[in-house]
Amino acid sequence: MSANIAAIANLKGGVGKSTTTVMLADGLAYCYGLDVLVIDLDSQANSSQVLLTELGLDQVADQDKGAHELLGQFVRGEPPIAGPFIVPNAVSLEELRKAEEEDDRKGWVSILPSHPKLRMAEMSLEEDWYSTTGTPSTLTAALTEHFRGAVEPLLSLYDVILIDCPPHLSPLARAALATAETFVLPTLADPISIWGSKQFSDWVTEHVRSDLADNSFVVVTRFRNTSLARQIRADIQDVYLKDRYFGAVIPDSISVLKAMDRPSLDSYNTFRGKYGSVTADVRRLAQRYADFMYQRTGVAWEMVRR
Amino acid sequence: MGDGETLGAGEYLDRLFEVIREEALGNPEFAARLVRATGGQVTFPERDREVLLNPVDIAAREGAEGVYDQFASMDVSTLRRVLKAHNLATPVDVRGKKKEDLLGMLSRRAMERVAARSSLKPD
Repeated sequence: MSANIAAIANLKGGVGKSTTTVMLADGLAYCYGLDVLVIDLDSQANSSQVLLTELGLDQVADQDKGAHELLGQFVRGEPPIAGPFIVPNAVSLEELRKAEEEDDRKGWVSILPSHPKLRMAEMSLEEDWYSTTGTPSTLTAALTEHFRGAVEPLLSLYDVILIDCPPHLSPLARAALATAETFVLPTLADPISIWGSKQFSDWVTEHVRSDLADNSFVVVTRFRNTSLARQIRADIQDVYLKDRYFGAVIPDSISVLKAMDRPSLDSYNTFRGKYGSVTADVRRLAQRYADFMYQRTGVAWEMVRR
Repeated sequence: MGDGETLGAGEYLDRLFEVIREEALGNPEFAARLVRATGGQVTFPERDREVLLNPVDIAAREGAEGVYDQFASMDVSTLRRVLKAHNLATPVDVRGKKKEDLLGMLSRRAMERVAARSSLKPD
Protein backbone atom coordinates (compact mmCIF):
# COMPACT_ATOMS: atom_id res chain seq x y z
CA MET A 1 0.00 0.00 0.00
CA SER A 2 1.34 3.41 -0.94
CA ALA A 3 -1.05 6.23 -0.26
CA ASN A 4 -2.08 8.72 -2.86
CA ILE A 5 -1.74 12.27 -1.50
CA ALA A 6 -4.40 14.71 -2.63
CA ALA A 7 -4.58 18.41 -1.77
CA ILE A 8 -8.08 19.83 -1.55
CA ALA A 9 -7.40 23.41 -2.43
CA ASN A 10 -8.67 26.64 -3.87
CA LEU A 11 -7.52 30.20 -3.35
CA LYS A 12 -11.07 31.31 -2.66
CA GLY A 13 -12.69 30.61 0.70
CA GLY A 14 -16.20 29.27 1.09
CA VAL A 15 -16.14 26.98 -1.94
CA GLY A 16 -16.65 23.79 0.07
CA LYS A 17 -13.10 22.53 0.60
CA SER A 18 -13.84 21.06 4.01
CA THR A 19 -17.19 19.64 2.92
CA THR A 20 -15.52 17.99 -0.07
CA THR A 21 -12.70 16.68 2.13
CA VAL A 22 -15.11 15.06 4.61
CA MET A 23 -17.39 13.65 1.90
CA LEU A 24 -14.45 12.21 0.02
CA ALA A 25 -12.99 10.70 3.21
CA ASP A 26 -16.32 9.13 4.18
CA GLY A 27 -17.15 8.07 0.62
CA LEU A 28 -13.80 6.37 -0.02
CA ALA A 29 -13.75 4.67 3.39
CA TYR A 30 -17.37 3.50 3.11
CA CYS A 31 -17.64 2.54 -0.58
CA TYR A 32 -14.10 1.21 -1.14
CA GLY A 33 -13.04 0.20 2.36
CA LEU A 34 -10.00 2.46 2.16
CA ASP A 35 -7.94 3.71 5.09
CA VAL A 36 -8.07 7.49 4.77
CA LEU A 37 -5.96 10.05 6.61
CA VAL A 38 -7.22 13.63 6.60
CA ILE A 39 -4.54 16.25 7.18
CA ASP A 40 -6.23 19.50 8.06
CA LEU A 41 -3.93 22.46 7.44
CA ASP A 42 -6.64 25.11 7.42
CA SER A 43 -6.51 26.94 10.74
CA GLN A 44 -10.27 27.44 10.55
CA ALA A 45 -10.24 23.71 11.33
CA ASN A 46 -13.58 23.03 9.68
CA SER A 47 -12.96 19.46 8.54
CA SER A 48 -11.51 18.71 12.00
CA GLN A 49 -14.59 20.24 13.59
CA VAL A 50 -16.90 18.19 11.37
CA LEU A 51 -15.10 14.91 12.07
CA LEU A 52 -14.25 15.42 15.76
CA THR A 53 -16.78 18.08 16.92
CA GLU A 54 -15.70 21.33 18.58
CA LEU A 55 -15.34 19.69 21.98
CA GLY A 56 -13.26 16.87 20.49
CA LEU A 57 -11.03 19.42 18.78
CA ASP A 58 -10.17 21.04 22.09
CA GLN A 59 -9.67 17.65 23.72
CA VAL A 60 -7.16 16.48 21.12
CA ALA A 61 -5.36 19.83 21.19
CA ASP A 62 -4.96 19.36 24.96
CA GLN A 63 -3.43 15.94 24.19
CA ASP A 64 -0.78 17.69 22.04
CA LYS A 65 -2.19 16.32 18.79
CA GLY A 66 -2.63 18.37 15.65
CA ALA A 67 -0.90 20.05 12.74
CA HIS A 68 0.31 22.91 14.97
CA GLU A 69 2.41 20.35 16.86
CA LEU A 70 4.02 19.28 13.58
CA LEU A 71 4.86 22.91 12.94
CA GLY A 72 6.26 23.21 16.47
CA GLN A 73 8.45 20.20 15.75
CA PHE A 74 9.83 22.01 12.68
CA VAL A 75 10.46 25.19 14.71
CA ARG A 76 12.40 23.20 17.34
CA GLY A 77 14.52 21.62 14.61
CA GLU A 78 13.38 18.11 15.48
CA PRO A 79 13.18 15.30 12.92
CA PRO A 80 9.88 15.07 11.03
CA ILE A 81 7.54 12.55 12.68
CA ALA A 82 3.78 13.02 12.31
CA GLY A 83 2.52 9.82 13.94
CA PRO A 84 2.18 11.09 17.54
CA PHE A 85 0.08 14.04 16.39
CA ILE A 86 -2.51 11.98 14.50
CA VAL A 87 -5.90 11.12 15.97
CA PRO A 88 -6.36 7.52 14.83
CA ASN A 89 -10.15 7.46 15.11
CA ALA A 90 -12.17 10.11 13.31
CA VAL A 91 -14.89 7.70 12.19
CA SER A 92 -18.51 8.84 12.43
CA LEU A 93 -20.08 6.15 10.21
CA GLU A 94 -21.79 3.33 12.08
CA GLU A 95 -20.94 0.73 9.42
CA LEU A 96 -17.20 1.39 9.79
CA ARG A 97 -17.37 1.39 13.58
CA LYS A 98 -19.35 -1.85 13.64
CA ALA A 99 -17.00 -3.62 11.23
CA GLU A 100 -14.04 -2.59 13.39
CA GLU A 101 -15.83 -3.84 16.51
CA GLU A 102 -16.32 -7.19 14.78
CA ASP A 103 -12.63 -7.26 13.91
CA ASP A 104 -13.44 -6.90 10.22
CA ARG A 105 -12.20 -3.42 9.44
CA LYS A 106 -13.23 -2.25 5.99
CA GLY A 107 -12.47 1.43 5.69
CA TRP A 108 -11.33 3.87 8.34
CA VAL A 109 -10.81 7.59 8.80
CA SER A 110 -8.01 9.12 10.85
CA ILE A 111 -7.03 12.76 11.10
CA LEU A 112 -4.09 15.03 11.75
CA PRO A 113 -6.40 17.78 12.99
CA SER A 114 -6.07 21.49 12.75
CA HIS A 115 -6.79 24.08 15.41
CA PRO A 116 -6.88 27.90 15.37
CA LYS A 117 -3.54 27.62 17.20
CA LEU A 118 -2.03 26.62 13.83
CA ARG A 119 -2.38 30.11 12.36
CA MET A 120 -0.73 31.71 15.42
CA ALA A 121 2.11 29.20 15.25
CA GLU A 122 2.54 29.86 11.53
CA MET A 123 2.58 33.65 12.00
CA SER A 124 5.13 33.36 14.78
CA LEU A 125 7.31 31.12 12.60
CA GLU A 126 7.07 33.52 9.66
CA GLU A 127 8.05 36.50 11.85
CA ASP A 128 11.09 34.68 13.21
CA TRP A 129 12.11 33.34 9.80
CA TYR A 130 11.85 36.68 8.01
CA SER A 131 13.57 38.58 10.82
CA THR A 132 16.84 36.88 9.87
CA THR A 133 17.76 36.27 6.25
CA GLY A 134 14.87 33.98 5.47
CA THR A 135 12.40 34.55 2.64
CA PRO A 136 8.97 33.05 1.91
CA SER A 137 10.60 30.80 -0.69
CA THR A 138 13.24 29.42 1.65
CA LEU A 139 10.61 28.85 4.35
CA THR A 140 8.40 27.05 1.83
CA ALA A 141 11.31 24.84 0.78
CA ALA A 142 12.24 24.00 4.38
CA LEU A 143 8.61 23.29 5.33
CA THR A 144 8.15 21.14 2.22
CA GLU A 145 11.15 19.05 3.20
CA HIS A 146 9.85 18.65 6.76
CA PHE A 147 6.38 17.88 5.54
CA ARG A 148 7.49 15.28 3.02
CA GLY A 149 9.67 13.69 5.67
CA ALA A 150 6.72 13.51 8.06
CA VAL A 151 4.34 12.07 5.47
CA GLU A 152 6.73 9.51 3.99
CA PRO A 153 6.36 6.87 6.77
CA LEU A 154 2.58 7.28 6.56
CA LEU A 155 2.39 6.22 2.92
CA SER A 156 2.48 2.55 3.83
CA LEU A 157 -0.19 2.94 6.53
CA TYR A 158 -2.96 4.58 4.51
CA ASP A 159 -4.55 4.24 1.08
CA VAL A 160 -5.39 7.89 0.64
CA ILE A 161 -4.14 11.05 2.35
CA LEU A 162 -6.36 14.10 1.89
CA ILE A 163 -4.82 17.47 2.76
CA ASP A 164 -7.42 20.16 3.44
CA CYS A 165 -5.50 23.31 2.45
CA PRO A 166 -6.11 26.87 3.68
CA PRO A 167 -7.59 29.43 1.25
CA HIS A 168 -4.33 31.31 0.76
CA LEU A 169 -0.81 30.63 -0.45
CA SER A 170 1.26 30.90 2.71
CA PRO A 171 4.51 28.91 2.94
CA LEU A 172 2.65 26.17 4.83
CA ALA A 173 -0.05 25.99 2.15
CA ARG A 174 2.58 25.90 -0.58
CA ALA A 175 4.45 23.13 1.24
CA ALA A 176 1.22 21.13 1.31
CA LEU A 177 0.66 21.69 -2.41
CA ALA A 178 4.23 20.68 -3.16
CA THR A 179 3.73 17.45 -1.19
CA ALA A 180 0.54 16.45 -3.01
CA GLU A 181 0.33 14.25 -6.09
CA THR A 182 -3.22 15.11 -7.09
CA PHE A 183 -5.34 18.21 -6.60
CA VAL A 184 -9.01 18.31 -5.78
CA LEU A 185 -10.38 21.70 -6.75
CA PRO A 186 -13.80 22.50 -5.28
CA THR A 187 -15.54 25.44 -6.89
CA LEU A 188 -18.94 27.06 -6.97
CA ALA A 189 -20.86 27.61 -10.18
CA ASP A 190 -20.63 31.39 -10.00
CA PRO A 191 -18.46 33.99 -11.77
CA ILE A 192 -16.46 34.96 -8.65
CA SER A 193 -15.47 31.38 -7.93
CA ILE A 194 -14.49 30.73 -11.55
CA TRP A 195 -12.06 33.63 -11.36
CA GLY A 196 -10.72 32.35 -8.01
CA SER A 197 -10.18 28.91 -9.52
CA LYS A 198 -8.36 30.42 -12.49
CA GLN A 199 -6.09 32.49 -10.22
CA PHE A 200 -5.30 29.45 -8.12
CA SER A 201 -4.70 27.14 -11.09
CA ASP A 202 -2.49 29.63 -12.91
CA TRP A 203 -0.42 30.44 -9.85
CA VAL A 204 0.10 26.83 -8.80
CA THR A 205 0.91 25.79 -12.38
CA GLU A 206 3.53 28.53 -12.62
CA HIS A 207 5.09 28.24 -9.16
CA VAL A 208 4.39 24.80 -7.69
CA ARG A 209 3.26 22.14 -10.17
CA SER A 210 3.43 22.61 -13.91
CA ASP A 211 1.39 19.41 -14.37
CA LEU A 212 -1.52 20.65 -12.25
CA ALA A 213 -4.09 20.35 -15.07
CA ASP A 214 -3.32 16.67 -15.66
CA ASN A 215 -3.69 15.90 -11.96
CA SER A 216 -6.74 17.98 -11.14
CA PHE A 217 -10.11 16.68 -10.03
CA VAL A 218 -12.73 19.44 -10.10
CA VAL A 219 -15.82 19.30 -7.88
CA VAL A 220 -18.68 21.76 -8.32
CA THR A 221 -20.13 22.30 -4.86
CA ARG A 222 -23.22 23.95 -3.35
CA PHE A 223 -24.87 23.63 -6.72
CA ARG A 224 -28.30 25.25 -7.07
CA ASN A 225 -30.12 23.86 -10.04
CA THR A 226 -30.98 27.12 -11.81
CA SER A 227 -30.53 27.90 -15.48
CA LEU A 228 -27.74 30.38 -14.64
CA ALA A 229 -25.88 27.86 -12.47
CA ARG A 230 -26.28 25.16 -15.15
CA GLN A 231 -24.89 27.52 -17.76
CA ILE A 232 -21.90 28.48 -15.59
CA ARG A 233 -21.23 24.86 -14.71
CA ALA A 234 -21.25 23.93 -18.40
CA ASP A 235 -18.83 26.79 -19.11
CA ILE A 236 -16.49 25.60 -16.33
CA GLN A 237 -16.50 22.05 -17.66
CA ASP A 238 -16.49 22.72 -21.38
CA VAL A 239 -14.49 25.93 -21.66
CA TYR A 240 -12.56 27.27 -18.66
CA LEU A 241 -11.28 24.04 -17.08
CA LYS A 242 -11.97 21.67 -19.96
CA ASP A 243 -8.65 19.84 -19.61
CA ARG A 244 -9.48 18.69 -16.03
CA TYR A 245 -11.22 15.62 -14.68
CA PHE A 246 -14.63 16.45 -13.23
CA GLY A 247 -16.03 14.81 -10.14
CA ALA A 248 -19.64 14.68 -9.00
CA VAL A 249 -21.70 17.80 -8.41
CA ILE A 250 -22.51 18.41 -4.76
CA PRO A 251 -25.93 20.07 -4.46
CA ASP A 252 -26.77 22.93 -2.14
CA SER A 253 -28.86 21.01 0.37
CA ILE A 254 -29.96 20.99 3.97
CA SER A 255 -28.69 17.39 4.07
CA VAL A 256 -25.14 18.65 3.53
CA LEU A 257 -25.48 21.08 6.43
CA LYS A 258 -26.84 18.31 8.66
CA ALA A 259 -24.11 15.88 7.62
CA MET A 260 -21.49 18.46 8.62
CA ASP A 261 -22.89 18.76 12.17
CA ARG A 262 -21.86 15.70 14.17
CA PRO A 263 -23.96 15.73 17.35
CA SER A 264 -21.20 14.50 19.66
CA LEU A 265 -17.85 12.73 19.61
CA ASP A 266 -19.58 9.49 20.64
CA SER A 267 -22.29 9.90 17.99
CA TYR A 268 -22.47 7.63 14.95
CA ASN A 269 -24.78 7.45 11.98
CA THR A 270 -25.22 5.17 9.02
CA PHE A 271 -23.89 6.37 5.66
CA ARG A 272 -27.44 6.88 4.37
CA GLY A 273 -28.57 8.44 7.65
CA LYS A 274 -25.66 10.88 7.71
CA TYR A 275 -25.95 12.05 4.12
CA GLY A 276 -29.72 11.76 3.59
CA SER A 277 -30.76 13.14 0.21
CA VAL A 278 -27.13 13.62 -0.91
CA THR A 279 -26.08 10.01 -0.23
CA ALA A 280 -25.99 9.20 -3.94
CA ASP A 281 -23.94 12.36 -4.59
CA VAL A 282 -21.33 11.38 -2.00
CA ARG A 283 -21.18 7.85 -3.45
CA ARG A 284 -20.79 9.31 -6.95
CA LEU A 285 -18.02 11.62 -5.70
CA ALA A 286 -16.10 8.61 -4.38
CA GLN A 287 -16.74 6.63 -7.57
CA ARG A 288 -15.54 9.47 -9.79
CA TYR A 289 -12.43 9.88 -7.66
CA ALA A 290 -11.78 6.13 -7.90
CA ASP A 291 -12.14 6.38 -11.70
CA PHE A 292 -9.80 9.38 -11.74
CA MET A 293 -7.19 7.44 -9.75
CA TYR A 294 -7.59 4.36 -11.95
CA GLN A 295 -6.91 6.50 -15.01
CA ARG A 296 -3.77 7.88 -13.41
CA THR A 297 -2.35 4.77 -11.71
CA GLY A 298 -4.05 1.76 -13.29
CA VAL A 299 -5.00 0.58 -9.79
CA ALA A 300 -8.71 -0.22 -9.46
CA TRP A 301 -10.19 0.06 -5.98
CA GLU A 302 -12.78 -2.59 -5.30
CA MET A 303 -16.18 -1.43 -4.13
CA VAL A 304 -17.07 -3.06 -0.81
CA ARG A 305 -20.33 -1.25 0.04
CA ARG A 306 -23.07 0.48 -1.97
CA MET B 1 -60.31 48.92 6.03
CA GLY B 2 -61.82 50.32 2.86
CA ASP B 3 -60.24 52.92 0.63
CA GLY B 4 -60.24 56.31 2.28
CA GLU B 5 -61.39 54.93 5.69
CA THR B 6 -59.46 56.35 8.58
CA LEU B 7 -59.04 54.86 12.05
CA GLY B 8 -58.25 56.36 15.40
CA ALA B 9 -55.10 55.16 17.14
CA GLY B 10 -57.07 53.05 19.67
CA GLU B 11 -59.12 51.28 17.00
CA TYR B 12 -56.01 50.70 14.91
CA LEU B 13 -54.15 49.12 17.84
CA ASP B 14 -57.17 47.01 18.84
CA ARG B 15 -57.32 45.49 15.37
CA LEU B 16 -53.58 44.95 15.24
CA PHE B 17 -53.39 43.21 18.62
CA GLU B 18 -56.47 41.11 17.86
CA VAL B 19 -54.69 39.70 14.80
CA ILE B 20 -51.55 39.03 16.87
CA ARG B 21 -53.61 37.42 19.65
CA GLU B 22 -55.44 35.15 17.20
CA GLU B 23 -52.20 34.12 15.58
CA ALA B 24 -50.57 33.42 18.97
CA LEU B 25 -53.46 31.21 20.08
CA GLY B 26 -53.34 29.14 16.90
CA ASN B 27 -49.57 29.09 16.47
CA PRO B 28 -47.63 27.97 19.56
CA GLU B 29 -44.26 28.61 17.95
CA PHE B 30 -45.20 32.20 17.24
CA ALA B 31 -46.55 32.52 20.81
CA ALA B 32 -43.28 31.22 22.21
CA ARG B 33 -41.30 33.75 20.18
CA LEU B 34 -43.56 36.56 21.35
CA VAL B 35 -43.23 35.52 24.97
CA ARG B 36 -39.46 35.16 24.68
CA ALA B 37 -39.19 38.60 23.07
CA THR B 38 -41.04 40.22 25.96
CA GLY B 39 -39.18 38.25 28.61
CA GLY B 40 -42.38 36.76 30.03
CA GLN B 41 -42.85 33.37 31.68
CA VAL B 42 -45.70 31.38 30.18
CA THR B 43 -46.53 27.71 30.52
CA PHE B 44 -47.46 25.73 27.45
CA PRO B 45 -49.75 22.70 27.16
CA GLU B 46 -47.95 19.33 27.26
CA ARG B 47 -48.80 18.63 23.61
CA ASP B 48 -46.88 21.77 22.52
CA ARG B 49 -43.80 21.31 24.70
CA GLU B 50 -42.02 19.00 22.27
CA VAL B 51 -42.10 21.70 19.59
CA LEU B 52 -41.54 24.70 21.80
CA LEU B 53 -38.85 23.67 24.25
CA ASN B 54 -35.33 24.14 22.92
CA PRO B 55 -32.89 22.02 24.96
CA VAL B 56 -29.89 24.12 23.91
CA ASP B 57 -31.60 27.34 24.97
CA ILE B 58 -32.62 25.75 28.29
CA ALA B 59 -29.10 24.41 28.81
CA ALA B 60 -27.72 27.92 28.32
CA ARG B 61 -30.20 29.48 30.74
CA GLU B 62 -30.77 26.77 33.35
CA GLY B 63 -27.91 24.29 33.02
CA ALA B 64 -28.02 20.50 32.76
CA GLU B 65 -30.46 20.10 35.63
CA GLY B 66 -32.85 22.51 33.96
CA VAL B 67 -32.79 20.42 30.79
CA TYR B 68 -33.39 17.28 32.81
CA ASP B 69 -36.32 18.82 34.71
CA GLN B 70 -38.01 20.35 31.67
CA PHE B 71 -37.92 17.16 29.62
CA ALA B 72 -38.41 14.59 32.40
CA SER B 73 -42.14 14.30 31.77
CA MET B 74 -41.70 13.26 28.14
CA ASP B 75 -41.89 9.64 27.05
CA VAL B 76 -39.17 7.73 25.19
CA SER B 77 -40.44 8.34 21.67
CA THR B 78 -40.88 12.08 22.29
CA LEU B 79 -37.38 12.34 23.73
CA ARG B 80 -36.00 10.58 20.67
CA ARG B 81 -37.76 13.06 18.41
CA VAL B 82 -36.47 16.02 20.43
CA LEU B 83 -32.88 14.74 20.30
CA LYS B 84 -33.06 14.22 16.54
CA ALA B 85 -34.94 17.47 15.82
CA HIS B 86 -32.17 19.50 17.47
CA ASN B 87 -29.45 17.36 15.86
CA LEU B 88 -28.25 16.25 19.29
CA ALA B 89 -28.43 12.59 18.28
CA THR B 90 -28.74 10.37 15.24
CA PRO B 91 -31.22 7.49 14.91
CA VAL B 92 -28.29 5.16 15.66
CA ASP B 93 -27.50 7.01 18.90
CA VAL B 94 -31.03 6.70 20.32
CA ARG B 95 -31.71 3.12 19.22
CA GLY B 96 -32.61 0.86 22.17
CA LYS B 97 -31.93 3.56 24.77
CA LYS B 98 -34.06 3.84 27.93
CA LYS B 99 -35.66 7.06 29.10
CA GLU B 100 -32.95 7.81 31.67
CA ASP B 101 -30.24 7.30 29.05
CA LEU B 102 -32.01 9.61 26.62
CA LEU B 103 -32.49 12.32 29.27
CA GLY B 104 -28.83 12.04 30.21
CA MET B 105 -27.79 12.25 26.56
CA LEU B 106 -30.04 15.25 25.99
CA SER B 107 -28.73 17.26 28.91
CA ARG B 108 -25.06 16.32 28.35
CA ARG B 109 -25.05 17.05 24.65
CA ALA B 110 -27.06 20.27 24.99
CA MET B 111 -24.52 21.47 27.58
CA GLU B 112 -21.63 20.43 25.30
CA ARG B 113 -23.12 22.39 22.44
CA VAL B 114 -23.54 25.53 24.52
CA ALA B 115 -19.98 25.23 25.82
CA ALA B 116 -18.60 24.68 22.32
CA ARG B 117 -20.52 27.36 20.46
CA SER B 118 -21.37 30.21 22.84
CA SER B 119 -19.14 33.25 22.71
CA LEU B 120 -18.93 34.64 26.22
CA LYS B 121 -18.43 38.20 27.36
CA PRO B 122 -15.37 38.62 29.57
CA ASP B 123 -16.15 39.20 33.28
